[in-house]
Amino acid sequence: MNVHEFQAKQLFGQFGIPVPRGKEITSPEAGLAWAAELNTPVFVVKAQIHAGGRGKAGGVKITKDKAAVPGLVKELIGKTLVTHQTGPKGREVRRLLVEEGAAIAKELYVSIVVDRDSGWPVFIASTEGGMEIEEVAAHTPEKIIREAIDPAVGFQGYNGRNIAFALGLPAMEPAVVNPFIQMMGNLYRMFMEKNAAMVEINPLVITSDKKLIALDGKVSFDDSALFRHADVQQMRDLHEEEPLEIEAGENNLNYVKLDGNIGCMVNGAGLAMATMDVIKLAGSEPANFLDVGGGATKETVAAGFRILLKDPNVKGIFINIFGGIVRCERIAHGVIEAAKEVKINVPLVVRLQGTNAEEGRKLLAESGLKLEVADDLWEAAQKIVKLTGKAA
Amino acid sequence: MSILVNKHTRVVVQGITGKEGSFHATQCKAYGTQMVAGVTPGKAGQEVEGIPVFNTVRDAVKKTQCDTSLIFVPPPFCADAILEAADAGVKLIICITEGIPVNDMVKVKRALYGRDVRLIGPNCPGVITVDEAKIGIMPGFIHKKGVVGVVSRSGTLTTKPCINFRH
Repeated sequence: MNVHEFQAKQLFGQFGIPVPRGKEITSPEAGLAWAAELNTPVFVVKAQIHAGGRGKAGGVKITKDKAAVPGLVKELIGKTLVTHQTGPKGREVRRLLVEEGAAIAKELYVSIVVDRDSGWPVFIASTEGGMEIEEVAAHTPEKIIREAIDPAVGFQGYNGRNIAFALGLPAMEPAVVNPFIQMMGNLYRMFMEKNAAMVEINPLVITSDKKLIALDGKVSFDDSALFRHADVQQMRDLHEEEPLEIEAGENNLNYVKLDGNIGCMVNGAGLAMATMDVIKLAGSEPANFLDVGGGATKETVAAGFRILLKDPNVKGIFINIFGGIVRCERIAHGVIEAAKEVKINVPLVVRLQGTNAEEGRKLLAESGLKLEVADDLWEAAQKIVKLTGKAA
Repeated sequence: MSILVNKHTRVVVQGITGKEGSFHATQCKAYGTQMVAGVTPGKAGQEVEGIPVFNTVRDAVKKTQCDTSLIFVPPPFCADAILEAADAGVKLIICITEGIPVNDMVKVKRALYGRDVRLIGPNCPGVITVDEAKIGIMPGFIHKKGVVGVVSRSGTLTTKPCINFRH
């Protein structure tokens, strides 16, 4: 789960990581009152959407004039921002962060994720703050610093020193070295205690008066651990999520919307990925990833089917089920059930194998639904691609 | 040939009185696996399909000499259950549970490092040695005795090569 910048900064504050004074603002009136209270030489008004690239898209405004703040609030609220992460449709701005500006002397980058190879949390740091870390890694990989943390003992002073010296902080600004090491310890504590999937400060700024401040921040959380954190759950913003993905989540389905036009319904994440691969190999693009899970019931299958059909991009549906625990006749019942509620006007290819596959195929054949049955994965993929046409 | 499990493997099921636990313990037993114990804290003395239930894995090991654990404990308590099995001397831990917090597993993986114990999973279908022992949730019938061993990172996708080998 992702949260907004202002929420990430609230959490930073709770863990002793300095952030600019700021507040979530949703109206010009509130902006006026907060600007008066903030009383700072420079005001920053930042659009809050779950996507990067806000600055370039015109979602960040800076002013020295207190009286100009309400006007900027009015300008940004309701505006649609299109960034490289929002897709062409963009994202409507509903909330803003109004905060004090900082006198920037130097910008750094720091984040923590779990390294999938070692299974240890790892700090990623760079002197190239304010840039996208993917760009830095692609063009100047030598500027990426990594420091793995032994989860048995947690963050130690030497981990902080390793990062600080590798960044060249003592030469840059000796006064910030110790606060930096302490800040890294706090960031690690936040990462573990809040079950974050990623914490990122970019840029981490050294100000002209030799202070460290988290000028922008991004935090995402491990969905599997949200049950432990009521405070984090409350930060969820459904406006920022794909409506079909929300509906899928409510039905315990693993669904990710993609840009192609073949809707896929598969059981098991591995088979779902393989299905997407063969669709691409056959010359088209999947409209989604959908894993109905090991314990799929008639109801979950029907819910999955409804979700697929709600996506206007879907020009055909490919059902690929291996019945191990899931019995194929249940899947067939689910499809028939859903077809009663929603009119199916796209081609359907079904591959059922495993437990009760014969029975499932028979049910579908007798249901009167217009569909094609296939035994083999490759054959099925070619059929659905032929029926829907190759991707442009 | 078998590598991890065979007909002598003695299995304890952690979370045996739950819906998934009892269903699959029964299925594994029907396949011929030696299902010798179950664990659910506070339910010692009960039985599931003739399998005795204990309060702790330590008790189960002491009374039944089980050497392998099959885990169906819900995600919030699962890291605890894995560590309990390791501490009780179980040598092979097969964890079916899906959705365990990542940071819990970071700690578990670190705690098991260097110890004489092997963890399969979590979020896996289990391990099967054809005609000897099925310790997991995979359907038995798709696996036939042969000369090729299959190791996979994916559950449903594993069934694809297993079926292909038969043709």
